[in-house]
Amino acid sequence: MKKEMESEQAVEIRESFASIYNEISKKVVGQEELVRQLFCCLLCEGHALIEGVPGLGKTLLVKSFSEALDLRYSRIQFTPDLMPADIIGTNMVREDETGGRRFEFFKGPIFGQVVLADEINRATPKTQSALLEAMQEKRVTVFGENHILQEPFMVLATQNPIEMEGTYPLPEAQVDRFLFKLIIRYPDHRQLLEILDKSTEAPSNLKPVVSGDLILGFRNMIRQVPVASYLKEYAIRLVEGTHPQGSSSPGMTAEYVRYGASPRGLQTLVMSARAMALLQGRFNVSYEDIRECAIPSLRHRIILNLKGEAEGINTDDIIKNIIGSTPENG
Amino acid sequence: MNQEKAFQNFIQAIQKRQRKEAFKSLALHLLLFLLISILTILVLERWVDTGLRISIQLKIATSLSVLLAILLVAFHWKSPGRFLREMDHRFGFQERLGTSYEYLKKESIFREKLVEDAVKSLRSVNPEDYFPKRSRYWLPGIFLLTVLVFSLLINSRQSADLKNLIGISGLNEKSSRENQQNWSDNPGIRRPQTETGRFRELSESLRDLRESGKSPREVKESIQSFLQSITVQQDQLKRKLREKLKEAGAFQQPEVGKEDDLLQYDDRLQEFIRKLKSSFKGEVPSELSENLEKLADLEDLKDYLDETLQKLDREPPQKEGGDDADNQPRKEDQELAIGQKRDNTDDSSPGGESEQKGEMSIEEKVALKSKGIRSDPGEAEQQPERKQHEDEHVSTLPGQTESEWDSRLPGLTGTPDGEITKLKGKTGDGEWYRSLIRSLVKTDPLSSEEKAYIREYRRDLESVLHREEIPVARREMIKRYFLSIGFSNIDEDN
Repeated sequence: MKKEMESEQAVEIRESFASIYNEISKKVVGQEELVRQLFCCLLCEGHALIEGVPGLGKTLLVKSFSEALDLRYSRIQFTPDLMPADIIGTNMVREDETGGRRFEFFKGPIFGQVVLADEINRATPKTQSALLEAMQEKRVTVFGENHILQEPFMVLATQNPIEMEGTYPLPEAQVDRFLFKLIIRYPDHRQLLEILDKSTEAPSNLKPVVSGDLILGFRNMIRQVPVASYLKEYAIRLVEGTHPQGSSSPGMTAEYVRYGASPRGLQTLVMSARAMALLQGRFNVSYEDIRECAIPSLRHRIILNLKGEAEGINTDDIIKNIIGSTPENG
Repeated sequence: MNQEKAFQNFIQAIQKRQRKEAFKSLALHLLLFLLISILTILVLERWVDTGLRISIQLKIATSLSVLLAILLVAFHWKSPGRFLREMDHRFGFQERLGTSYEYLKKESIFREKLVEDAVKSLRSVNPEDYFPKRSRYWLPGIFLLTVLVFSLLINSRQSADLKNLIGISGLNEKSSRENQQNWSDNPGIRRPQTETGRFRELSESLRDLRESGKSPREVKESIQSFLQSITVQQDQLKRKLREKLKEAGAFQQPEVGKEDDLLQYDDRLQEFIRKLKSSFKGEVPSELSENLEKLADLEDLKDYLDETLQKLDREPPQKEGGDDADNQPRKEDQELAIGQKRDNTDDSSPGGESEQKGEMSIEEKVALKSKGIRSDPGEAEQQPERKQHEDEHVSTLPGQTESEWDSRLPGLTGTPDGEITKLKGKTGDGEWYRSLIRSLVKTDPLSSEEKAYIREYRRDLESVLHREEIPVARREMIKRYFLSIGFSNIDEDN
C-alpha cells in the first residue's frame, strides 16, 4: 500500500513542476529548462552555481523560485569584506530579564531554505569556504555548537563571468560541491518583448504551490527511480570520456583537458538523470535523461589545460564531443 | 500483476519468434553463401587452376558456408534484454522495455508502474512491427544470384561435374549422361562440353567469322589453317607428353603399352588414358593429367572443327565474291535453278514437268517440311546426298528461301584483313589455347621482302630436310607445320 502511494506520488512530481513553472513564469520569461534544472537540483539535494552576465534575471529567478515553493528565502551579497560570521551568524551577549548576561546565537542568512549567494566569487576564500561547509554538511558550527539547517536547503550561488578583477574564483574542489552549473543566456527578441511588458506593468505576486514537505517526499523517491545497468555503464563511459588519460577518451579531451570529472560527478549525473526522468513523467531513466544532465552536471568538473584555456575552449563543447563519440551500446 | 504477466508473456513470445527467425536466417545465409561459393568457383575456374578437384572445392566451400552461416546467426542472436533494448531504440520507448526487463527480478517501488508503462508502450505499436522486417531485396537478390550461378554453371568447363555433384544433372540430359560417363571413367580428367561449354564460344567465334564478310573459301581456309595449327600443337604436346610419360616410367607399366601407341592413339585416347590411370592406380601425376587433358581438348576441338568444315562443305555456294571456283555453280544449284525456272514456267499449268518428275523447289520443300509432309520419299532413297544437303539447309534456315539464304551471306562487312579478330576463348586455358585462337587471325599480305626472306628460309630448311633422315612418324607433323606457317601460299602467290 505504501509502495502504491509512493509511486502515485511520483506522478505528482511532474504536475508539481508544471505548477511551479506556471507560477514562476508570471515574473520570469522563458527559462523553462533552467527552472527544470533548478527543481531537479532541489530534488537531488544539491546546490546550483548560476553564471550569467548582470541583468539577466538571476536574482529574480531565484527569488521567484523560492516564493513558488513556499520556502524561506535569504540573500547574501558577497563582497570582499564579507566575513564568515556574516553568513553563518554569531553569538552575541544578551542581557536577560534577571539582568544576567549570556551568549545567544543570532542566525545568519545561511539559515534560509533557498539561499542566494550573489556574486560568490567576490568574497574571500575564507568566507566562501564557510558557505561551502554549510552546503555540504547542512549544518553550521559556532563556538562548538552545531546548528542544523532546515530542510529542504538549497544554495543558489551566482557569479559573473566578466569583471574578474578583484574576484576570488572558486577553487575546483569547492566548485565540485555544486550539483549543477547553470548558464543563463540572453533572451531572444520575443522574450525581450515579454520581459518589457511584464516588468513595466503592475508586479504580480506569486503564491506558493508546492510545500517544503512535499519536496522532502519527492526526494525520498528520487533514489529509487530504476536505472538499467546498461545506462549506468553509459554514464560511466561519459565520465571516463572526460579523463584525458582514459583509453576511450576522445581526442578533444586528451588535447584540452587537464582534469576530468570525479566520481562525485558520476553520482550527480545519475542522480540528476533519475530526477529528470520523473520530471518527464517516466519511471525509468533513459539515455536522453543522462545526456540532458551531462552538461550541467559535468561542465564545472572539467578543468582545462593551458592549451584549452589559451584557445578559449568551452567545456560544454568538450562534453558535447564526448557525448557524440560515446556509443550507447558500448 | 496482470501487466507483469503480460510483459513476461511478451518476452516468451519474442524468444520463440527469435528461434524461428534464427532458423530462417540460417537457411537464407546458407543458401546465399553456397551460391556465392559456387559463383566464386565458377569465376575462378576461368582464370585460375587451383589444382583441386571440383568435388573437393565444393566440399570446402560448403563447409565454409555452413560455418559462416552459423557464426553469423550466432553473432546476430539476441538475448531478450538486448532485443528489448533494440526495440526501445527503434520505437523511441526511452528504455522503458529494457529497464522493465531488468527490474522484473528487482525490488523497486516503481516496478509495477514501470512495467505498466512498458506494456502501454508495447500496445502502442503494431505487433507485426516488433521484429525488424527482412529487406525485401533479399529474395529477388537470391533469385538473381541463383540465375547467375546457373547460367555460369551451364557454361562452365566443369559444369558436368558440378551438376552431377549438386544434383541438377537433369538440366541437359544428353550432355549430362555423356559427362557422367566421362567422369566415372576418368574422374581426374575434365572434358570440355562440345555444345554447352567452351565450344559454344568457339562456335560463336566461327559464326562471327562467317558473318564477318569473308567468302566461304576464306572461312574454310581459316578453319583449315586453324586445324593445321591444332595438329602442330597436338604433335608438340604429344612429344612433350611422351617425354613426361617416359620420365614418370609410364611405359614400363605393363598396362600402358608402347611409346608408339602415344603417337597413334588419336582414336584410342580414352582407352590410353584409362590404361594409364589403372597403371598408376588412379592417381595420375598432375602434370601428366594436365597434358592429357589438353590433348583430349585438342581432339575434341579438332572433331568440332571437322564437323564445322563438313557443314560448310554442304552449304550452298555464295553468289558474289570469292574466286572463280566459288563462282562456278554447283550441281545442286544448277538443279535448283532449273527447278525454280520450271516452277516459274509451270505456274499456269499445274501438274507440269517438275510435278511429273517428282522434283520440287526449295520453298515448296520447306513449306511441306514445316507441315510435316515429306516431299518425295523416293527421292531421299535415290539421292541420299542431296536429301541430306537439303535437310541441312532447311534445318539451318527454317522458313527461308534460297535467295534469303544468300542474303545472309553478305559481302563481307566484318574486320578488315590483318586486323586482329578477337575470339572468345578462356583465358584460364593458358597459352596453348590462346595460340590456337590467334591462328584464326588473318595476317596482312606479305611484302615482297618478307616473301623473299621466307623463300630463303624455305630453301635452307629444304636442304636441311634433304640431308637429315626424318622418322616416318614425324614426316606428317613436319609437313603440317610447313603448311601451317603458309609456305604453300608463297608458291601460289608466285
